[in-house]
Amino acid sequence: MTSVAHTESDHDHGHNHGEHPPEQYYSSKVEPPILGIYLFLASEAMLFGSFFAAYFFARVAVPHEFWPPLRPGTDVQFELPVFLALINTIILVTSSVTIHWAVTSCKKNYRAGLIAGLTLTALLGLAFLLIQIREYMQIGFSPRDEAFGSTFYALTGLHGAHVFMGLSFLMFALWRSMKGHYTPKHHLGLELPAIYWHFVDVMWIVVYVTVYVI
Amino acid sequence: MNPLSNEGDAFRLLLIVIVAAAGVAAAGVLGDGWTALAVVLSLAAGTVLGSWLARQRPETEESADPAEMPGAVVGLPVLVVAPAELAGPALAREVADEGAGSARVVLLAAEQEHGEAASRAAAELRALLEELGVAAQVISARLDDAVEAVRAELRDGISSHVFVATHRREHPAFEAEERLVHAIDGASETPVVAVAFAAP
Repeated sequence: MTSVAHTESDHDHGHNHGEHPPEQYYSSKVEPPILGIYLFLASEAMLFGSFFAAYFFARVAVPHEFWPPLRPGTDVQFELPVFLALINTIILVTSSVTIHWAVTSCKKNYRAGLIAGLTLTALLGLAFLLIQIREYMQIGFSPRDEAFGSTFYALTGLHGAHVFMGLSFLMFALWRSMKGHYTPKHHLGLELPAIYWHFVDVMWIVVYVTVYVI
Repeated sequence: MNPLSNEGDAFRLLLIVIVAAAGVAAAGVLGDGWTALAVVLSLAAGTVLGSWLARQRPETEESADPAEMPGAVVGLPVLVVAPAELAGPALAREVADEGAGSARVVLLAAEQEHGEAASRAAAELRALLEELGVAAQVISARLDDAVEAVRAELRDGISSHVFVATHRREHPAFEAEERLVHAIDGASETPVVAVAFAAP
């Protein structure tokens, strides 16, 4: 572990005062790492909020019969792959279950469960991304296809980028787990990526219902 | 419930969102987009009202596991690990400031110093701590056996945390002491705090 905060004594002799910058002040109610994740997730929620606002604005502005728009030169509307997205939803929800299992295993000092849970979560996250890439390749419209295409790719692409980041955090947490860095009491480095992963899943549920279902 | 600081709560929030999203999706499929919006607004209003009511309710339940309660370790002795050279008034005051009424102290000395000098330092530190109202049990150990000594102390009794005193960064011994801090942290599930002191 390298998480021990090394501070300097206030009780040393006078000649030491002023030789180093003062300790940073922080609230005794909220630990700095937790405050950091509060602010980070708040900024993420606002980022998604702005994308959703653009989506809803475009959707309300366009007549119902033209959402999704018609394929060029035809009377047929574009279709979203609702079933494929449902499979992706199931994959992501399952990955939340596996990461919860990993964190629970860590708290119970069950190392095999921790590593297996993280590995499964990373594989499920990777599967989600690969399926999304395949969906993009076969979907039949591009970001240039009116506001519908732009907002679809913006929302799902933003979410995909978050899955990629979450996957990176998970791979790092997996590497640290294999090194034995986490203990039942000291595992903040695992807990925070797990919270982030659940946040990404919550966002996907909202994206799926908003974009694909309704 | 705080889904931002606790993984378990974040997972529970996800499950709640899935149930809520299923309701919104059903409304959207059976009705239209405006019906779904009405359900979203109803759920949001219900959440706000529920949170407000939950805050109004007096807290009568106590945590079943005292170890999970904040501050539950208050009253336990602090385990202090310090080079014998630093056993002086500054260390004693810092230990007293840790808030524990009692302390178990492991004074570390190099092999050639391990003996009379370390015993004298231990006696002096015990007296200083007692003056400050801290009941102390002080032992000395060889620097090379520090991690083992800490393990043995932690096995013998529960401590609120481990307090490791080191020299300051500019001191030649600092690097080795910092490695020792990390070794103790790695060997112990008890929280470890490291504080640097100027050599007397």
